[in-house]
Amino acid sequence: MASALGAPRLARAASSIVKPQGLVLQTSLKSLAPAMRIAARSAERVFAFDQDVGHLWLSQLDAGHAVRGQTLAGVSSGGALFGLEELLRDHGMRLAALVQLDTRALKVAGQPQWASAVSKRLDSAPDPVAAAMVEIAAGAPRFALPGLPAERFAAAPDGAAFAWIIAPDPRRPVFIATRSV
Amino acid sequence: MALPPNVSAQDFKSALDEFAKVVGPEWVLTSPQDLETYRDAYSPLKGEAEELVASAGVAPDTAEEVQAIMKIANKYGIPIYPVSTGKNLGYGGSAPRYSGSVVLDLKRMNRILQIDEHAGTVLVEPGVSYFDLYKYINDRGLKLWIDTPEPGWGSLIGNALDGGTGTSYGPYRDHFAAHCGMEVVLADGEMLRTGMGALPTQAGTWTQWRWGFGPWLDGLFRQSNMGVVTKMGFWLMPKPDAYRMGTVLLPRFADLEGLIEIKNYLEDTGNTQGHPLIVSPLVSSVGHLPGPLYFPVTANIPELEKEAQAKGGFWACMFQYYGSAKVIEAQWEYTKELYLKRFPDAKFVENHAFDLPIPTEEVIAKGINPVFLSIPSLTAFDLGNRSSTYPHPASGHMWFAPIIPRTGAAVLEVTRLVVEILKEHNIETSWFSPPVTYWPKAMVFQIGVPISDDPKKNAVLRQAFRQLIRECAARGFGEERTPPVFQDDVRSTYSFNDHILLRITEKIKDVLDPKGIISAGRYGIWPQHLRKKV
Repeated sequence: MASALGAPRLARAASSIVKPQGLVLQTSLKSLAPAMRIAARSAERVFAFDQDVGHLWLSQLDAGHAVRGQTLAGVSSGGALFGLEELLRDHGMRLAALVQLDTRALKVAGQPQWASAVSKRLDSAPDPVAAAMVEIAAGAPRFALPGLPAERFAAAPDGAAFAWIIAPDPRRPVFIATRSV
Repeated sequence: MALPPNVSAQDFKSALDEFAKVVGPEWVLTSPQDLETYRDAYSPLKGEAEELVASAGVAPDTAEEVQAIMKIANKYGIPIYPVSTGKNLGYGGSAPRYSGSVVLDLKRMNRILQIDEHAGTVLVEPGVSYFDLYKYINDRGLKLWIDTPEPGWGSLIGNALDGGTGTSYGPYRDHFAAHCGMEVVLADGEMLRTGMGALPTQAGTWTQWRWGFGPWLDGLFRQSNMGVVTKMGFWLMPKPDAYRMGTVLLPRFADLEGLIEIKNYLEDTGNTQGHPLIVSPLVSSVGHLPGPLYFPVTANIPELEKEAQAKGGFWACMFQYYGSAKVIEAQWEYTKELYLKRFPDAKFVENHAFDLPIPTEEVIAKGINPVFLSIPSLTAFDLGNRSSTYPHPASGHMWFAPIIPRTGAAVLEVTRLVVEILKEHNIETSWFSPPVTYWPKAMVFQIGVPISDDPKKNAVLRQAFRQLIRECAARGFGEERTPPVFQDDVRSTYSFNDHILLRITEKIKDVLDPKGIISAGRYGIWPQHLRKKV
């Protein structure tokens, strides 16, 4: 049922961009933990945080501009995504793919079966992280959300999370270039 | 490409070409994708023809480039709207007050020019954010603290100039008051340095002695449009040895007055230095912030007082202390002593007491808002998520923030008034903060009025917001800041002696910026050629 809700749309979006080099995971989203574990297994780099994406930004993402020019995939709350989008925009990066996840529906659907399906698909996927993101999206009822970041708060249900990809945008200048201090 | 008002296509093209020669063509931003980033994410005019938008952006790297840009803008009459990091959501973001202005994007000017650990001072450019400064200090192991607002992605300079605050140690919370010296590029491209910066030879006192040799002009550049601030000094707090938080709980609705009176005394005598948080145990907590507080003026008070007994109290004040562990323990004991003297049934909670520093992970694990400990954070945005205490999230918000006296009576008066007006317009808000105690001698009654995606609803919100401004001002509760859309409305309320404050300000504006190219209309200050027409 989940695939019928439009997973191929995200798959196209994911395949049209560079392979994610880092995976950002908000570990406080407990119901997504199995999917996160699977995605993390094949990610080049994993950036995990619990509540405050600002701490992750300070300690890892912005440290030496660690993620400059890299494609990031992630699973987080809408608020954390909003913060990252705004910060990464000044590094010449943009939101490239987005799906909304209903974490409560995941509990109902049952995680083990879903996790198993994701695992099988990952074995044959040429791009494990991107595939994981597709599977995360496919594994739960969701819909794509257009518009400005703040508008997503209004549309998202209680307990919603987001799977997303933020990638370098060659049309976007890199504002935060060097710290000449 | 959209044109600035009253500028021909040829002149605009010529100006952009000349800007490109100054900053490089890649830093003249005209694509729809670039201009999208200068929209106000929380605009109350979102999607409407009147939405405030930029015609272009130009991003200089140095103050000298700013000077060159101002000369070109003057030559062609191009309206310019400087932003530092442009992330002041709820108060307008990067969107220009005068639609069609060119955003002067100062994010590339992100140098920390000078930091003095012993003096506790720093000199920065506008693109330096609280995140940047925090990281710089910690990477070098300096024994300094910053006072950061939440979220911490904003610019020190932008926040101070717009009247922003933080949430830690008292004397540093008012960010403009904690600044010392500035460099300003004026509309004609001239460069001004204030305070000790006016001395051609520097001995390090530019960021230490703010008054220089008079007059003190810095105030002209706060909440105004008289120049482009390209450098600013700030005072920083030495890292304290220990931190303590304790909560005072009082049982009755009527206790609010005494709660605030004693808090005021404790603050004014320096007994408590942290940001006191007035909350109510009757209200569930939303993240780090207290939840809605309008119930006391709409609900059955005796019933609530019964409920308060079970929850520990009707009102609470969370006190924060920084310094030597022994000293702040004594300060907390004195706090309790004062409350017990007046309220024998007062209760107390020992929230936290520990030596510093501690890792950020521990701060988060303890449930302490990191900003109380000088750590910039982004947790504020999760307050916008839908939850049981916030069932109908908005697409953003605009802050309504009148200054009120530090009394319980004022809190209740403005609460009643605001609740009545919002009800009249069927507006639901759960971001209805209790009085905010950022400032030393006054309080702010700050609420986030929700933005909708529906223009019809936003029209109602704007109407309600204007009514809030008028009716609060009529009782002496003037707004301290407001989104650009309402700056004329707030300006009109500061009307003593036939608006002499505005009339004098306009005279100064006309002298400093005769063509009116800098931030037309910002804080209700319009250049001569646009005055009364808007």
